[in-house]
Amino acid sequence: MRPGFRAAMTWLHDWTGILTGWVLLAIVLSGTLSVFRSEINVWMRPELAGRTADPVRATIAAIDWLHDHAPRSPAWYLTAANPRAPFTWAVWQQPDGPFVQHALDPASGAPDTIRDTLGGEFFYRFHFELQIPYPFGRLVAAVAAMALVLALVTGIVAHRRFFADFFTFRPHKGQRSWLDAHNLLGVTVLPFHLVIAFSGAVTLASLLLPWGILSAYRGAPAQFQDALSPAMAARPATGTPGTLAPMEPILHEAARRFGPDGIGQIYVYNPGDAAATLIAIGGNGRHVGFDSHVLRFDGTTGRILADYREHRPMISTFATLYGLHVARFAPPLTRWLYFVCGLLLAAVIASGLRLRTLRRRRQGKSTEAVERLNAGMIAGIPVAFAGYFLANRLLPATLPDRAGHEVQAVFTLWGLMLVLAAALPSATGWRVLSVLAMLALGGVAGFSAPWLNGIDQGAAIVAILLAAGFGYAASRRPAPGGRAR
Amino acid sequence: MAAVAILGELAGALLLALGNARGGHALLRRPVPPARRRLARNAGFCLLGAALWGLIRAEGDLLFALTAWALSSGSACILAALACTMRDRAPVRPTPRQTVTGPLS
Repeated sequence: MRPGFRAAMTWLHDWTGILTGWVLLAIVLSGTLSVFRSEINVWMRPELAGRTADPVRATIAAIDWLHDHAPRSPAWYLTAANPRAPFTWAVWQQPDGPFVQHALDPASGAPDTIRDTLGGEFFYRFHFELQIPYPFGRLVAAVAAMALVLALVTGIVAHRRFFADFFTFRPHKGQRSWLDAHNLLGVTVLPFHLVIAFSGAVTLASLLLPWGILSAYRGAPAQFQDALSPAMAARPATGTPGTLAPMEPILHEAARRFGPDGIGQIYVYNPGDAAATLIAIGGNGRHVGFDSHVLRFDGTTGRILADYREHRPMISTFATLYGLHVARFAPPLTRWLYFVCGLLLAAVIASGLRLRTLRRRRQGKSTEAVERLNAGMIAGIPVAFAGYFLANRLLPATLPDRAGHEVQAVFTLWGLMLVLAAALPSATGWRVLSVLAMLALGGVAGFSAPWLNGIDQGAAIVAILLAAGFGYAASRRPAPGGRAR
Repeated sequence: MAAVAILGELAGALLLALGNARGGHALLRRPVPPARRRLARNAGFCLLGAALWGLIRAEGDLLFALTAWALSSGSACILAALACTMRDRAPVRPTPRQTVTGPLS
């Protein structure tokens, strides 16, 4: 290998990290939290603590409620209750266009008894949409995922002493310590980093490389969707009013055919029309691959129109990669490992950002502005995300558009943290923001009281450990050369 | 079974650290001869392999087990690296030769 190649890879690694590091950090942290999406859903809806739900009964209740309150909606999308999330998550389109989403009570099917919050769905959507309108947010996430793949591959080439430094971490040595931490956290969990980055890029690949689809389907994306998921196609509405068939036999038949996978999702298209279609999708909790078993019913008669299992090799490969990314299959131990490895990936990105400023400072270049922004992002994002949990407990339960206010709290706090970091000298900014992160996370641990169930205990433990980490960071006194004492 | 497998991974990661020049020096406070390092490394790989076998038996699914194994062995290596760091930073206790005086010295 020519020495110039390694230097070029190092340059590419640095610049990829600099240009996408902040966005990647937000994406990785929200993705890490999404691993516990269902548990966050329950934490943020304390009304549901300790409740259990029968998925068939809860879905029937939800459909009955939607039948009464959203009869003219073109479609209802329901995620069935399961042992991790004892409620039905419903998204439906209003006749005039906008979508509404609510958790529905498993017994009554109404949203009134459960506080209005997006719960873990916020982190899940933010992870790949960044709260930016379609398709721009997804495009940014897709580019960031590709950049992460590139940064990892170039990092492998750039890291000269891959195996010699495998067990090396030399603390309190300034830039050397940050480099050791960056290498150690990057190399030891490299398979996870590579799989998550690659599968994330593949998941959004159609946005990055749309030309194949455009050329094959000649600008008819609906045909592509039909080819991708043949059983999911809805029949066009006839305009003739119709009545939905009784749901209980349909859902029991679906549950019987899905077996131990259970019912995952139910879509009802054109519910008030004679051509109503009901799609039942099997759960994915028992397979790595996201390969769906789909049943299509005639909504008015309950007759099965299709019983489809995906076996096409390319789609199964995609489904396996997607399944590895979203980790729905993961049993509790593996889910915790995903969470820990996600935090480690965030630490790799943060240490890389810090390393870059330290290296430039040693070269005598000014890094103050970037250092302040680093503080605003690296310590600011945890403050903002912790603020989401705090807003959930502090906002009145009956506040109108409560879910929207919770999301606003995240971005208001994040903006404030960035302003604060920009206004303070970087060393002070790091310390102040670390203290704020520690307090916010301590608040999350406090609001998890009385720690009676596993979710509250898990949330409190994670929050306390992260708060301790930020507390430790705040206690360090950076020396002029960037070397902590 | 899964817990035993993960403990095996931790032990395997420590043996791998022992088989690494820098890690071995940090853990034992003295250079480790190459032959012993090789032995430790091979034993570490064997333990990691045994942990994978244990996870396959515990999970009942190869892909589930491989995923859990890859994630947990990475975390085990980080813990081993931190163990090396802590051991390296711990104050050196004087050896008997340095403390004992009199006829034996």
